[in-house]
Amino acid sequence: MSSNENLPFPVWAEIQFEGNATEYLKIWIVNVLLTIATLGIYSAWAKVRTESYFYGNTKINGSSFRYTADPVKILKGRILSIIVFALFWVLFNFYPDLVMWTLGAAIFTFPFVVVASTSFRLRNTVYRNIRFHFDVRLRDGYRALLIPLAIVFAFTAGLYWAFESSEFATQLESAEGSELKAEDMLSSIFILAILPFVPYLVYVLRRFVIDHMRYGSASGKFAAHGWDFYKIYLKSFLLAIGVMMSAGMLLGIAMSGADMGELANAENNPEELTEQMTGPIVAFMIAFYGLGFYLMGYFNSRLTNMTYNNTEIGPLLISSKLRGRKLGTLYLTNTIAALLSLGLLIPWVKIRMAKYKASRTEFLAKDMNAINAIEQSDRSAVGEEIGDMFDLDIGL
Amino acid sequence: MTVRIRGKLYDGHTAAAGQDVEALGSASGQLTLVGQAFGALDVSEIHISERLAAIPRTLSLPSGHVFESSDNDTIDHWLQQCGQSASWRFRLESNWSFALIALAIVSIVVFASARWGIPLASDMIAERMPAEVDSMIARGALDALDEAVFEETALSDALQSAHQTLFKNLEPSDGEATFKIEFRGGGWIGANAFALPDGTVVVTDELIALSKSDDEISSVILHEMGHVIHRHSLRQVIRHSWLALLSLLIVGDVSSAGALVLALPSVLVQSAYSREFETEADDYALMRMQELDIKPINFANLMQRMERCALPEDEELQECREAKPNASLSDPGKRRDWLQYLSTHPATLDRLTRFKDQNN
Repeated sequence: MSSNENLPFPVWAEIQFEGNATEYLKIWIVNVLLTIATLGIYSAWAKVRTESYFYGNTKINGSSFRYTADPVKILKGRILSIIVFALFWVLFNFYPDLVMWTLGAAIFTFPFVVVASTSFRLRNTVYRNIRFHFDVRLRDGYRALLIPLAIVFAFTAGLYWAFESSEFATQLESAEGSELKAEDMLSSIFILAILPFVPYLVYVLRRFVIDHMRYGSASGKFAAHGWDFYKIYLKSFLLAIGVMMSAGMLLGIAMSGADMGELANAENNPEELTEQMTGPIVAFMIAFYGLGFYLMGYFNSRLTNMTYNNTEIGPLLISSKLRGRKLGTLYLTNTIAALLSLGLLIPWVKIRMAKYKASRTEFLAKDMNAINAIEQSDRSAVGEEIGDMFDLDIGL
Repeated sequence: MTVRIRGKLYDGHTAAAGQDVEALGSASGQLTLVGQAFGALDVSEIHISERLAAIPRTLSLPSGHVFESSDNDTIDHWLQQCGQSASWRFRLESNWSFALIALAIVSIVVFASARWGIPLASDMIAERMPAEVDSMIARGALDALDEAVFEETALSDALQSAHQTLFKNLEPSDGEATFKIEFRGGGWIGANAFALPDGTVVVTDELIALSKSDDEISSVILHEMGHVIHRHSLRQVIRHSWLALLSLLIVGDVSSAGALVLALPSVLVQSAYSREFETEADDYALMRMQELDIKPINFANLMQRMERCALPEDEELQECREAKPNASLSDPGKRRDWLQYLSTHPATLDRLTRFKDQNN
């Protein structure tokens, strides 16, 4: 019965994406209109419509995916996450004295968000009438994620404390003779200290998600190592430095060109001078953003490829061959299109991206018959919506 | 009349490819899967997914099986026979005329909210906020600016207290707000004045040096006081939050490119709001200047001089050179020039004309 079953060798199956821009444009504009008309309430239903459209048009071996989330649960999740988000916003902005506690609370919330949002998304993904799910309890999330986070937090706090009590800080404070407070330095120290840990934290997160992912009775397994993540981050970092230097150089060239011109004559006329400077500025912006998109393309393609190519779900293998340059071109042209059309081409942009990603991803099913259904319990949508609001990209 | 629906049957036990099956739907609401042992199922026992574009519909059977079919029209036809109406959402989503109407409505609503709705709602909220909220926003702002931008003032104590007295006399007599003047070296910002929401007005040494009379500097301080009186910081925070929320509603589910797509329109709307606030502060300054018998041209003169001296080449001008209170500031570092250039508050000609025209 299965088409794979009768073949001598298992074959790689391409993902087909069958959505089209004009069809989705009509769905999108209805979603936007109803969302505005209901002051945001319809957004939960709009999300289900959108996800269902993209899932339903994604096919492997002739069968499409299905998104089964309940909009009412999504709405409840959205309301709760707005409250939590507002709470953190107020704490961060109006209670700087409590910043350490707020940060601690945010870190403590994080594993909950990951577990709840991943469960919700996976549980509502169905293929061939078999559900995906996330086989963890909340405490597994805390065990797997809180310890690495706590170590990073402790390291940062230690560094902060060391700085605060160091002679350097004392000197700095007395030199300024003013209100330079150690708390003001906290955010910069925190960002600097956490930077080297980012690839490790991303690795831990992805391994946690993939290792506990299930499709029916098939278990996910993540084969990548921390070093694989460090390599990609390091290369992207070096490339980013290159991008900034080239953009700076371009600016320099454009500037010197302008200097040679009539800049000297414009001395007594600020408006004319302003016109003279516009060229170099625009050149700099274009170079900076243009190269930035390609950098993003490089980074995202490598990270996605590496993640997918190291993922196994029971007898299922995934192969991803995204190309950095192509992805960069897509980011660039998509952004220009969306900007110039005042958002009207957003549906086209989304369809185009989904088509490209599908065309570069393949599945290999060694034996689909070996995958069976198992029972799971329901979980709430609360976590997924918090994950949405915090823009949590766990790369599924 | 019986309808034929072709599709695939998934048993819900294994992930094997579905079995090609044909279902027969009768006008009396019975569904029979040909060659299967389910018998005739009543339409009320089957959960049929809502139609969405051309994606396959799922008919979930009580046994846990799923019959999946792309014969959307046939299914709708059968459902109609059984007395069930088609999805209103699908009808809206597949209608070009409705899409165009929706587009027109959305455009009008978005424009109207940005132009009138957000300012009105934000100002109503701001009015109900206690004064403590202003101080909360101001808290830490001066510290941060001191760390990043400002230097200690180089003004003599005598000069400072002379200006304190001058500015004290500018405060509104009705005690509507209390002000506190702080002096700072402007760093790379140079000649400028800033109003913090708690009533602190920061004046840079360079601005004092650039002004040729007490009336000139007073006019700029009055403008800053206008920002405080009209609670522009608080109103700006609330307006920007609303704007972010509105953008989120529209393109909420665009992920990667979303932030950038939103950036340009948001910046344009924000700068429109900011121009509105500048005009309001100008109105206040004009009104108070008439009250205090200060000629409006003073404001235009000082603003124009600030504009001119902001550009590096003009530092050679006599008036700009005089504005340098200490030597270290006259180093024309590239960074400073560029940030000046990108500064968001140009004294536009329109604005200055208002002050010039009133001069008689």
